[in-house]
Amino acid sequence: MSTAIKRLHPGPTLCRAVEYGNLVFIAGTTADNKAGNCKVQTEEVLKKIDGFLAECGTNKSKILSANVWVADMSEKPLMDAAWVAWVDPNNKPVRACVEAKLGSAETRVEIMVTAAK
Amino acid sequence: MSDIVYHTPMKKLSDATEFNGVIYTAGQVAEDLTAGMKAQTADVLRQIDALLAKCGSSKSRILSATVYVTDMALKPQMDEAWMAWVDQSRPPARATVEARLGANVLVEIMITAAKA
Repeated sequence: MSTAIKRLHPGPTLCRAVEYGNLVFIAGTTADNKAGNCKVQTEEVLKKIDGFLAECGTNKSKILSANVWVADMSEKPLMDAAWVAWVDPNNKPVRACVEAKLGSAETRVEIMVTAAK
Repeated sequence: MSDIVYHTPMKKLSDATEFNGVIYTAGQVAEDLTAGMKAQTADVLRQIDALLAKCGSSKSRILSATVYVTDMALKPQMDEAWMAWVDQSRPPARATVEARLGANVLVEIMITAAKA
């Protein structure tokens, strides 16, 4: 029998999270409050990711890999400030951060993570 | 339940993580950022070889690669270095897209691999 795939918050285009065995995949997450700068938006994104991870029965200390897209590389230090304040100091995932055009001009950052359960 | 292994934790991230027999490597950039696309790619791939070796794997066990280049016009140079390096009998899945990277960085590569 194959291992079940569990999908959380399925929408018309995607799920917010997918669980498979002891792996969790969180969708690209952006801030709801687009008025904030890159740091404020990153803080909100990381809070949302905390929530999705919790729903999947895991947490930030079990993140394996993260992809970060920023709207402008000059704002990467703002993203990093929020990231460093949030990341588990004893369990840091791998990460790549590049600049890309995001969903809207106001969206400054989008983050996608893969975690263990 | 298998434990997560973190290799070389730095301020923001680790060099590599391992879980369930799968290795994840951080986005790697060249050490010599004055070099051109082909040389930067060869430099990145050398670092990936070293990272995978540290995790008990090798390029012939790569499952997936994400390649970011600053200019799609330079992709053929990246591919030249890639072709010279990749295990031709075991090529991984790969995607290459254009993105703006750190200062003077022309290419960044992130890998997922199986342990040996």
